[in-house]
Amino acid sequence: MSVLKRNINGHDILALREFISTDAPVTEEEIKHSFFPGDETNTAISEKLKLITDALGFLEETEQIVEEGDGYRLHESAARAPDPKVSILSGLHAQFGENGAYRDVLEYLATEDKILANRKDGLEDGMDGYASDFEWNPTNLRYWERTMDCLGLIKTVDGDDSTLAFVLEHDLWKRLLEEVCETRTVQLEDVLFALNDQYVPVWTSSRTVAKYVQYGLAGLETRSEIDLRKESDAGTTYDIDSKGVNTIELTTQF
Amino acid sequence: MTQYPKNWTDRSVEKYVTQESQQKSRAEFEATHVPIDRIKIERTQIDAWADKDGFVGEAEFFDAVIDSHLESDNRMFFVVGETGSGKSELCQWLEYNIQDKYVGESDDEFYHEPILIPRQVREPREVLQRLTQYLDDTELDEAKRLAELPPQGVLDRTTGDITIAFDKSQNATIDLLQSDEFKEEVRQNLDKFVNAFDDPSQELEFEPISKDKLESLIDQYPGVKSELATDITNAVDILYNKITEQAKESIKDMLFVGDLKETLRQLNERFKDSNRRPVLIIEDLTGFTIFQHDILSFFSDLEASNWDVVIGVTTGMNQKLVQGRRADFTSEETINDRIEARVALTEQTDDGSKTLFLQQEDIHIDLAQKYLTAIKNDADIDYTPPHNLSENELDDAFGDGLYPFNKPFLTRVYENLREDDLKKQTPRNYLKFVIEGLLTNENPPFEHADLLQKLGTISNTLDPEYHGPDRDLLKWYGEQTDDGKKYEVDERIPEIFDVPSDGWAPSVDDTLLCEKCGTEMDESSEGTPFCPSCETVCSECQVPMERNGEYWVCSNIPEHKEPIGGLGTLFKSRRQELLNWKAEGMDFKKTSDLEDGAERVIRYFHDDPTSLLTPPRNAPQASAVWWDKGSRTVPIHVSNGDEPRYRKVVISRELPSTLLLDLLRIGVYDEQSIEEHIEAERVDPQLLRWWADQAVRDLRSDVENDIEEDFGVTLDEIALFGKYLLNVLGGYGTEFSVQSLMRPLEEDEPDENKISIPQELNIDRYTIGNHRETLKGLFRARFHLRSNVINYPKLHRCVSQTTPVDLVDRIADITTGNDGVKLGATKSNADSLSDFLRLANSFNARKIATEVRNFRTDSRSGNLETARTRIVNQYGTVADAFEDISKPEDIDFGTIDTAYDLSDRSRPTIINKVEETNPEDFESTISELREKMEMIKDVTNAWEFLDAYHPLLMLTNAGTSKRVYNDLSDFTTELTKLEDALEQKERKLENEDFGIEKLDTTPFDEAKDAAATLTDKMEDGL
Repeated sequence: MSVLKRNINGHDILALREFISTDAPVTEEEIKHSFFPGDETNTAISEKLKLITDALGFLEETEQIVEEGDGYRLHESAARAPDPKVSILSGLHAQFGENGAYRDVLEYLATEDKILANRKDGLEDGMDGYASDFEWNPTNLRYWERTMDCLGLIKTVDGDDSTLAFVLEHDLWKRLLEEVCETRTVQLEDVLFALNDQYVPVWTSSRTVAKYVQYGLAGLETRSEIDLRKESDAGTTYDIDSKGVNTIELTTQF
Repeated sequence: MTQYPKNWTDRSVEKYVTQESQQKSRAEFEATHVPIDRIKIERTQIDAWADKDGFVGEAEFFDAVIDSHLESDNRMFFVVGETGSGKSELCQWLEYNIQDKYVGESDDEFYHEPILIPRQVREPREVLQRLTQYLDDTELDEAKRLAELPPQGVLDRTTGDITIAFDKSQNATIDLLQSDEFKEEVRQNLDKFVNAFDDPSQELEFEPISKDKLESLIDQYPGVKSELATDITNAVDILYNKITEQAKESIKDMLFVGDLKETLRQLNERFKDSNRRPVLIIEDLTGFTIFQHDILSFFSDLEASNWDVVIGVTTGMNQKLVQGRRADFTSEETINDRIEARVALTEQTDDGSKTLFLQQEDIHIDLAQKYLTAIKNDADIDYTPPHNLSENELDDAFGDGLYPFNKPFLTRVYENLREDDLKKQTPRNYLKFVIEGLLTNENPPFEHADLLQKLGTISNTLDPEYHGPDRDLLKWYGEQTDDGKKYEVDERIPEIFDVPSDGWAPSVDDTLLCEKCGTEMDESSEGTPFCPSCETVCSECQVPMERNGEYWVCSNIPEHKEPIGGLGTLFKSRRQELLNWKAEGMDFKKTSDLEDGAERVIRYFHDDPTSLLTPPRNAPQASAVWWDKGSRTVPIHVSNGDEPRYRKVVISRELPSTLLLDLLRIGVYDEQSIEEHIEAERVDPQLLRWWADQAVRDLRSDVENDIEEDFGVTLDEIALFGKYLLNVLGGYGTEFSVQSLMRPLEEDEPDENKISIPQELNIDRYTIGNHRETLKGLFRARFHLRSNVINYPKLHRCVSQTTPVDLVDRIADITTGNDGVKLGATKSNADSLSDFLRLANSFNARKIATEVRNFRTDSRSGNLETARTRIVNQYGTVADAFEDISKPEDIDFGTIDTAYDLSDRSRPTIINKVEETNPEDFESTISELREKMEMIKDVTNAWEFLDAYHPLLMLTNAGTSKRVYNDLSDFTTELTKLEDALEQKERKLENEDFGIEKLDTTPFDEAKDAAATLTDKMEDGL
């Protein structure tokens, strides 16, 4: 089943992941027993259990959990990750084919350099053109949207023309930079490529830094959490908020 | 404080700035005179001015004044302007120029003779002296100075003259006028009047008593109204006018200046005889006090005299005088005919007044330059301390002759001149209060200017985050670059003030675009931005709008308002206040636009920002629980260092300036959606999102912490208590675990008709019924991730951290709590959480918890024991009676039949009903009854009691068990009665005398045995 069709909302996958992380190994029955508010043994209500099944499926497909003989436990790489959201993001980003749909939407937004989008008007058509292998519709884009919102990738908005703003949550930006900056002062080029390779798409179709990345980095600098500057012999210079920079320094402890 | 080099002295400043025009020498006057070349024509009969577009210069005014011949009738020129606007300057210039015009001409030639009455000439005697110097034989000995007269005599004379204006029959009025209070009032005002003669800045207006004061006095003398009032005029007006008129006449008589009109007439003749025409130049008619009427009357009434009169009056006085004169004439035409022209030096603006000639481009710079040059030339000293720049470099850096100011500095000063919170752009304010104040202070102008408190808010868009040592200097001397990104100053300026500086600092964007059409805003002559493409017509009614304060108001519907100058002006004004608030620490007063923006942004990123659901959108059947306080959907507080009265999103100075400006922009430009602002890149969506996230997170967290602090319990704990209560009352047991609590209850569960609560536990089951959906919803609101997904980790944590006893104790101990949090199954039927927890007409969790707490074995109230005893008494009889019996055949019905045979009691049908009871029904009823009774006996708290009580009642009150129980209860009762009947029979037989010595006692013995057997059985159980 495509990850796109999983009826999840983000909060459910985070809670399940936490449960599996702390109580592993846990069987599917134990999970249902813990999370389903009704009688999980009643086969007549199996449809209601689909939400839990979907959330489990999503976690499996994004390599967060694995099922072994005695039940589920965290995937080895997920267990090493310092932050669940970053871990899921990394898992999503690593997917290709059917399970790569979630990443494809982010890539489309970055490529088109969009900050605002509407899942019904625009995004659906855009995705039909960008990744035509999938069956894009408002329902599965809604699943994507609320999950991305929960993970901090986008923010659903109450707009006249838009349903989402592609600007990252503050904490997520910090966690991501913490992951990709090996030292406190690094070349911006390395940071951008690492982000693009491991977590989120960075480049527009014209190979400029996507606006949402520029907003995020400039915002962190406004809050004095990073310093963006140009140094000699520090790699390629990129325009960030109309300023040419090639070096990033984490000025506060993330 | 910074030391800086000066090449002037305080004395030279005083010489040029402090003195009145007439106190200066001719040379001093000319060294500082700037042509007054923008004089507004308000009224004129001068043909030559017809094509002047409403304005003339001083030269044209001069030409007009002397455009008369010997026999021309009186001609009056009124020069209207605020104090300090240049009336004296113009009058002095006029005098000099009239004098100059006839220099070198023979005495026989016709010429104009200027007679200047300066502003500081205020005593009637001095005025008369000025005039009579042209007369050879005038005796002024009798003209007195008011200040020289004995004050008490002046008072007595004045009040006496006032009193004799009334008839002696007007007793109440006379009493008032002779009262100490009235006389004291007149005395004080006389003192003020006399003292004002020595102070040219004071108006010489004598008002013996104010109208308000008089009105309050009349209230103390009720008869005055009936004595004075007429059908059309009230007593206050009549008495006030009479008192004022009499007092002025009295003063005039005391001064005994003689007949002013006669003096003027004689002068007129004298001038005519010598082929001269007098030009009387009265700088300020206000100073003429009691002679104002005579002056105007003479020059407007007498056709036979031939004067040119230039009269300076303040703006308010002008209208008062002209209107007053008009009232004296049957026709207005007479005075109008005499007014050759009325010109104005100042003009009213929305927020004060401005001097017209200073509106000419850079004239305020020229003015300052002239004064500075004159002052420095007069001082003629070297700089102390010296500096390293040459004179040329200094002029290059500051502008020719402008040191220690530069052009931006002076413009900022001029544009912000204030007096009593009103804009007042007059030369006197500019020169005396500001230039003089700054030059004579030891500190540099940029440090001292703010301290003068003579200026309004200085506009600047320096980045509030910039705190370099040159910030204040840049604020005054700096200029914004064309791209709006920087403030720049010539680097030599900070150098000379010894201020470290790079010569620039960042600026926030200052470009204003029309919110309707996107056109870049123009700026009016008043500095007000406006859109050249849009008009001020009500967009809804299509009618012209009228100006009111900061807004255009629709003349049709006043609620339709638009900011004057468009939203751009409003934004600029609010932005300045915001920048001053952030950078200068000033109070932010007009905060509503910033609050609007903040609210819009929060609502944009968070559709239900005040909700206390976790997560915010978790389950359709979750209760509504949210923070609801104030008039906004999201309460916002802009902090001036103060705390909000209740929990709000706080906007503080510590937030980044770019964010604050974005919030303001979104608040002001409210016709544009946030998306439009984002798309146009006018606002930063990243910073807005982060701020909105943090604001909502903090608000929710603060409100939740307040709940815990105020009530002693958390929302999660209230949710757990509610769900547990419903579980127990619904018959789902007393287990307090994740599994039992997460068990869903159907919509109508528990049915209040099936809730069983003993009377000793004073809980109204209908209260439970009324609030059960709220309680279930609250549990969902706090512990559901989705309809069918529980937040197990959270529920597990919360359950493991508390117990039912702990919950009950803490909820029972609630004493107080703020309202503001609302809770309800839906928003429309929500209560305040405080009411929900504490009020009798709501759920009243506190009372329920208190009742539950009193229902423990260790509770001193003993409610549990009382209830248990009652229940045992009620149901224990049947349970005990059938202790060893599990089916009907265990009962010895044969013995029972024998007992009936021997007794006098007939055998009822209940015996047969019990005998014929279905053995399974019999057994299950009896065993369950015994079990429930044992539970009741063992319970230690209310939860267990409720748990046992409900099934006991269900057993005895519903279904087959109810019929069986009732039969057994009736059966037990019947056997008791049968026993009584047998005992009665036994006693009867024992007492009976049969008259037979040897009785056959067999029947008696049998009855006795049967009774004993039955009794035993009854005692041991059936």
